[in-house]
Amino acid sequence: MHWGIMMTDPKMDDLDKMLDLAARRAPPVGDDLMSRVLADAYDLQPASQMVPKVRRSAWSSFRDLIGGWPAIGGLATAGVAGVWIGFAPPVSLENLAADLVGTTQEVDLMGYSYGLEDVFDG
Amino acid sequence: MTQTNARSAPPEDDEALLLAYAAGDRSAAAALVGRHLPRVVGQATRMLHDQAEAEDIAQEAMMRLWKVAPDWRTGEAQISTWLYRVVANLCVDRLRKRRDRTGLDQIAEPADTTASVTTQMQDQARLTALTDALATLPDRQAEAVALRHLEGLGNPEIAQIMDISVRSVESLTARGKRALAEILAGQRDALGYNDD
Repeated sequence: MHWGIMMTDPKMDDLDKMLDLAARRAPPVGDDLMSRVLADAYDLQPASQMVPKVRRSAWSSFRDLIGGWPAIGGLATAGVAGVWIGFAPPVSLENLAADLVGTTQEVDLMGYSYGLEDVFDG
Repeated sequence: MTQTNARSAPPEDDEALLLAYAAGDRSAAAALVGRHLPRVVGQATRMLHDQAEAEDIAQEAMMRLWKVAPDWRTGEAQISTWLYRVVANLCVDRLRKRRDRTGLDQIAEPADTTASVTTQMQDQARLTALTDALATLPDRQAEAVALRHLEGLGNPEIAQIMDISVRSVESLTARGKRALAEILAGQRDALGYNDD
């Protein structure tokens, strides 16, 4: 018995030497390859390919056209004021109308009777 | 064995760089190239023993990294592991094409390496013979042997790269080495090993 002595296989020893030889290879990276790889990286970079397209709704376009939210607020206020004046016109406005037209007639649009008879009957 | 930046760099930094690249940071691309390209070129060169082919493989592997960047799943795989797998697969494909082109029985005879030629030429002949022999192995054996004995990776890491068990890695590398040793045994004299 040869305790502690391992039999080696010459074929395997040769292979190990060749593998060690190959494993030691550490080729430098040439500038040309570096440039090609970086060029690929920049060409394929997502942000460099996609030009963001802003999709705008008709509402957004209209809002910007009239001057943005402040203008929207002004329009809403004017609309509410108009409706209010229609239902409860100030006395001064009635007097002005009477001066211009000569007479005024009230028509109750919200009641169960339109009161048109009153208009024609004078 | 060459230790590269890719293996020592924290993987989370790699992922952060890849995410930054995907978000449009050009400097992240340069940093990733600096970290990984040397190791990628080295792996391909050691497997193929052909500088031009190795550079093609390296460029292709890095291109795949750029393409996968927007869909990269954080925490699932390390970039270095992913690249090892891609390069190994690409190299095995190249070796298979060489094998198909030359045929199993038409492996180039090593150059005459008598005392009149330099050690450098002898080394080149040995590396060529090794690569030719590697090309004759089944793909998975060639991949496992290369990752174990050319890249110096541990079996658990190879198992992760090849998506197989550690036991399978051990089996593949053992069978691969035995097959390589048999193939190269007939060229011992021509490769100058009887002179060592």
